[in-house]
Amino acid sequence: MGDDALLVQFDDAIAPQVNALVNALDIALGIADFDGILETVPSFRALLVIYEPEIISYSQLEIRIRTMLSGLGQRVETTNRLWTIPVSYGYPDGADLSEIAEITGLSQSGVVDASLADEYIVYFLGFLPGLPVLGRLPPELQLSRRASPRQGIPPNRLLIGGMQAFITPQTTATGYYILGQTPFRPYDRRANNPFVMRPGDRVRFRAISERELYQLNERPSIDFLTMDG
Amino acid sequence: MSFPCLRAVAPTPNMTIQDGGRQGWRRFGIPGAGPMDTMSFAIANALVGNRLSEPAIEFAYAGGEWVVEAASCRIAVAGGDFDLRIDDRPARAYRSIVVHRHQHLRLGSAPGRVWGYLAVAGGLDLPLEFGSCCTDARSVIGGQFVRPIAPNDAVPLQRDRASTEPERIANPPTESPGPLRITLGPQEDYFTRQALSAFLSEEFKVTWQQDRVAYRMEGPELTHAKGFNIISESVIPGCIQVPGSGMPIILMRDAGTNGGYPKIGTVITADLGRLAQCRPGSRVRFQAVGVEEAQAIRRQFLARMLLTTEAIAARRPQYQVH
Repeated sequence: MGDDALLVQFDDAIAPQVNALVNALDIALGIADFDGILETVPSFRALLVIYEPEIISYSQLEIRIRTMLSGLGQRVETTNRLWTIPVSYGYPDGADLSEIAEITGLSQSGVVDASLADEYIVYFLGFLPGLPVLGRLPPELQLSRRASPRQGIPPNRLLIGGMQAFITPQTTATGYYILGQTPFRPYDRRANNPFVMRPGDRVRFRAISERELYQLNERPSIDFLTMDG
Repeated sequence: MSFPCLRAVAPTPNMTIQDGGRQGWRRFGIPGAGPMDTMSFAIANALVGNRLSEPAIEFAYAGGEWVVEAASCRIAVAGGDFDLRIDDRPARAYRSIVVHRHQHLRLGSAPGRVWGYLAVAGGLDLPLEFGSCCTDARSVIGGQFVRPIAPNDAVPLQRDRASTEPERIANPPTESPGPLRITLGPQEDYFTRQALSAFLSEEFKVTWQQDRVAYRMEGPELTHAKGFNIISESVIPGCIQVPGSGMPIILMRDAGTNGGYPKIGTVITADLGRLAQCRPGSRVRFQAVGVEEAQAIRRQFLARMLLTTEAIAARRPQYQVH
């Protein structure tokens, strides 16, 4: 793309196996630390490599990446980093939860149960500072965005739309639906480590009451991370 | 108040702090920010003898009114022939000038130009956030200035007094009127053959929807052959996204790190500042170049920036190199 970026695209799918390859290449490039690579940016199925063409040419970079890709293999490594993210479902955005129930044909508790059933992975951080993009949602919870985005969606909201779930790092405009509120803060611009989640991390949700939400709001976000296995 | 500063008594909207930009944070969702017109930004800094990436004040269309709250400071304005007045007396852009405490600066508009830069010798005394003090209003990042400069804001200066040295002068850079050079893709196959040919042969108009995040263009409808949703992937400034409307949106410095619309191409580095300086209603054309040609143009662009700014800093006569 342009004169200083190269986009490596893997299979055209939102899938953990595909994303694992993106992350594997990202890590391999990080370790190799080639002169002239300025930054690498992972997303669902592609890795963007921003480089200095004055130091490494497009063709040199392409050869290096191709060589690296052939050495990556297809084995998907899973991390032992598991987040258990507490969510107060429907609070304070109950209207959204009933809308989701209406659209999906599930009961409100059916929506909650569906979102709790599976484990998710962090596909990447993007769109906004520290915004984790989680996937994938169970098919019954996959719904299209609203026709027009709503302004002023607050931080710490668990949103769903398409195959993904998101946790808002700051106030934003979005067409996605709000499933609930979480004490987890994906981004804190004043912290030593402003971004706590990493691509490839595993995520589970845990339903909590409003009361527990207020209690947990005092806890640092890292408390929701465990190492299993 | 004890620290030396420039006080914004009447700022214009979209006035921000910019330096060389952020690097290495896109993977966390943080864009690069940085000046909309890198050449003009570098010239403003060269005029006051600064490092080329020293923070300066960027403004759109006009630079508002300022009062000097330092014993003195050396300033320069670049980006266009902006109508600069010091205590209501006309002064010139593209040359350095020393202003003194309580003096009043008024920065009007420049014919046919959008972005201007006000640099101060010695630089601005601002904290870094993610390695830069650039205002990124969309991300709410920027250290002291996370939002555009507001009335009565004080922009702190590194020096309380201007050094005694001869002033510097720059020739306003002349810009080639040619088409905006782009590299095609990565999703050029999402468009019909007619759309691709219209994109590369017809005129597009810059619209009023232009800011640091994106420029929306108007022109022949670029029809998609494979729908207008792709799996969202990382984007950079210059990317030309085409949503369902078929009207291109060109991403600029503060654009978010990801996009889900097909990209028909990417404007090359050398031409992005040129596009940024296009006022609404300006007509542009796109010309496709290969990566190697794009990189050759980039080398010429960077060389021209270096030659120009070195000549300004050394107070040597400047030549236009094309």
